[in-house]
Amino acid sequence: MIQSFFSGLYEMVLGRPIPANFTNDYREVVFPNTGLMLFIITLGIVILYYYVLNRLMSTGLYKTQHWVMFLILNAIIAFIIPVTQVTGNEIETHSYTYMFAFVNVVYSLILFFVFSLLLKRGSVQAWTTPMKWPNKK
Amino acid sequence: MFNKKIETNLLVLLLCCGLLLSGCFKKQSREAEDEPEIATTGGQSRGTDTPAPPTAAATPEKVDVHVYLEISNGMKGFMPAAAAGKEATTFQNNLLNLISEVQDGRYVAEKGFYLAKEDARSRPVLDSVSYNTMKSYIVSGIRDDVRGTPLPAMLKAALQNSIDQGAVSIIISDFIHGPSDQGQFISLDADIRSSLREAEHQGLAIAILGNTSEFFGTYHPAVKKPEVSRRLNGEEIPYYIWVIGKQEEVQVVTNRVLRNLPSQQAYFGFEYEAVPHAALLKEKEFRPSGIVYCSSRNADPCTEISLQPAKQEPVEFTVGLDLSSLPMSMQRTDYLKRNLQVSSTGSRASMVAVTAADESIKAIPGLARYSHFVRVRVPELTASSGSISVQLPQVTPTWINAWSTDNDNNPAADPKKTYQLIKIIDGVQALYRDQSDFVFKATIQFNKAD
Repeated sequence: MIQSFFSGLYEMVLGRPIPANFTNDYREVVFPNTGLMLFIITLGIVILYYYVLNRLMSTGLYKTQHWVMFLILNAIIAFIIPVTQVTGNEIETHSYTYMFAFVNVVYSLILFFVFSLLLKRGSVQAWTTPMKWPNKK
Repeated sequence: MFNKKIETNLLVLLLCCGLLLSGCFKKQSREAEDEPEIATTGGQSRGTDTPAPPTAAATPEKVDVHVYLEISNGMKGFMPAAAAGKEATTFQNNLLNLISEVQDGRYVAEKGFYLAKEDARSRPVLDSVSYNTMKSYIVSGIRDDVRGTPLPAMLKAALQNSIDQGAVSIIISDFIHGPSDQGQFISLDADIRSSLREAEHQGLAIAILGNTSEFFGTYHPAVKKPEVSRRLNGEEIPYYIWVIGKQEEVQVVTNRVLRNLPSQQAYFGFEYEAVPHAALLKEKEFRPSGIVYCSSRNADPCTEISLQPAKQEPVEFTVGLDLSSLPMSMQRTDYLKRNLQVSSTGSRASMVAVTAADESIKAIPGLARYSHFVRVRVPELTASSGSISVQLPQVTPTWINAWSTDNDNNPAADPKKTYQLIKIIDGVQALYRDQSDFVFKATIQFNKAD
């Protein structure tokens, strides 16, 4: 289930894995691993930003530029993970690998933004970061 | 102060990130470890399953061997009496090597030496003799006067004798049929077949090795016109070594006892149930092209694949085969190139190339177990699933045709020919006609890739 969900998510944009002989490695290992980690890490960083740094610790990192910093940090992680996944599973690297990493970065940006919208209202200092909408106060 | 706070916070943040990441990576590595574990156990159990049949039928250490040397007058020219300054004939050299290997070689357990001749009523007689007696026949010539060779009867007698004692027969003869009744020439193939019927019943295989030797003396052709006999002085005349026995035992004899085989070899009744094979899809040395991948990620060997050829991009991949148990002549790349077939249900598959493993390939652990590599091309599927087989059909070697003649009266003009060899071989072939059509068949299942 999870395998086909993540395979579908990535192959929707990327097409079949190339080189094709590693299709199963991508579908059974790399896509689900990367997808799950993308999900978990993004969620973790969003929680860290809104709830740890801007609620428990009151660090003053509530400005949009700080939020962008974390967004970029997450994007970098989202680029590294697919590449390490591919090389770690002894799959030949191909331009497809880097396209895949790039797509993962794009997904990470979207996901980070979505998580931010969902979770920012629980933050004390950063509930208007990156913008006030949709919260009203 | 504010800056300091940010600094410490950033440190904490980095720490958190580090922890989070390391946690994640651990999870991933555990995941990665878990999966192959299941897979390797699967692979192992499969691994022990597949090699099991070959080890069960493993090549025996030692075999019992009976050597039958035909000593009719027609054989005398192969074994001229030794004289100082006269070189031994190829026949003498080879036969001496052979019987010495049988006598003293480490691969032979029980041995027997027989001189095959016929009695006054043209019935075959097998004289059990010692090693030294046979050796003296070979080096100093045949003193007996034996008229003809009732070929089928001789084969039958020798075979029966060996079957009774569970030994491999090695029959050495010129295979020039010398029947008392000329009508037997017409039924030679049928007679050969019935004489060897027992071999087929017992599941025995036959290897025929053809060689030539200088011939000094009286040559008795099967066709008696215009000459009933001729004196030859060093012309090349064919002689044959037939090895009859269980497939594995015959191979011990051909590979270890006879060793230097002539290039004229023919094998009948040889069949290999399980030739180790796999589709090689991840090896850099045999990069596949097109959309093709192993259906199971960790299958080893991979015998089930998913593929989807496209018009612009046909699928091509390599099948690794371990043919090291086959007779040497069948392992030759040119032989395989000529005879190997790729057949398929559900696709149009064809063979692109056959290569033998070279030293650089033998050095790669994953590939070392395969001796040959067949490149298969699949331009089109006709069904969503099916199978692709690499198979070696039972074929009559081409040399048999070249070595057969309908008139062996003048071997000087038409050398290296045996009268109606084709008919003799036809008779042997008829024995195994109802057996499998293939020496081996390596099948790979496929599904259309989704």
